[in-house]
Amino acid sequence: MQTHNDIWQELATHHGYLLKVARRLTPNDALAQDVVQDTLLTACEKFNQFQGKSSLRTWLTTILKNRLRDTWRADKRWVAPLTLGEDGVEDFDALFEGAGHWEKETFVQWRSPEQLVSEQQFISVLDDCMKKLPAKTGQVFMMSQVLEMSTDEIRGELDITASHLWVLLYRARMTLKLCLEKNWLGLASA
Amino acid sequence: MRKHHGCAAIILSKMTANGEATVFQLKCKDASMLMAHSQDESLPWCKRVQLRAHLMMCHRCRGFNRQMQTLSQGVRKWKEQSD
Repeated sequence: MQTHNDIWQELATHHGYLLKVARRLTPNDALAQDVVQDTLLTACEKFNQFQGKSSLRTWLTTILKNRLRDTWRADKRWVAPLTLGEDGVEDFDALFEGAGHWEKETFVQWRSPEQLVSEQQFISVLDDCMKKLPAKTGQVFMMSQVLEMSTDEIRGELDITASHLWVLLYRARMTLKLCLEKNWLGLASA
Repeated sequence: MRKHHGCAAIILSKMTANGEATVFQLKCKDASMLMAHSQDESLPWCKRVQLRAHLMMCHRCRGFNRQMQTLSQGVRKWKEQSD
């Protein structure tokens, strides 16, 4: 039978991850720390409801998402919608030549996915590149990919159209691809 | 004249006077948007067919498709790592 202390210790092992995520979705560090503390306290209170259907980290991420949504609603300025042009004017046209095909000179082929995903360097550079995403692009990418919010949930928080959302996610992925290629020569296949 | 939407509209609008359907050729830029999007949602069937036809002919887009999958897998790995 787990004691309260055992539960708290186990939850605390996820503190670093939760803080890393919260920092990218709150306007300042103090708020991020508060949100993570609230998340862990909630998780401790509700621990008997955790049935192990998902991993503990997944369950904690869901609680974090709900705590974050509370902070966003409390201060709508931080998640205020931007018009598409405000988050950088990148539209990636330079990567494609006149007829709409990939520009041969700039296209980079990567090594195999299985190899890359198993390498710490890949995850490190990805982490840096995620941090460098422009504000709104980065928020949307985190909400979608890390918090696993649905299109409707994201649109609910940001008050944007579905097509605006898809453009932001496309930009996020293209920007990450280019950032990875720029920052790690080991990414490319021979 | 009834208005058709989505996949039906694309096919019908491409039918020539002889009634032959022409396949709408994707450019790599359009394909790249579909491939990125397909990481989050299934594409409607006509887009899937167009994309598959394009991928058969374009090795760079096949590479890009793998890159999009690698990115998604990378983010999953990033989530699993303790810090």
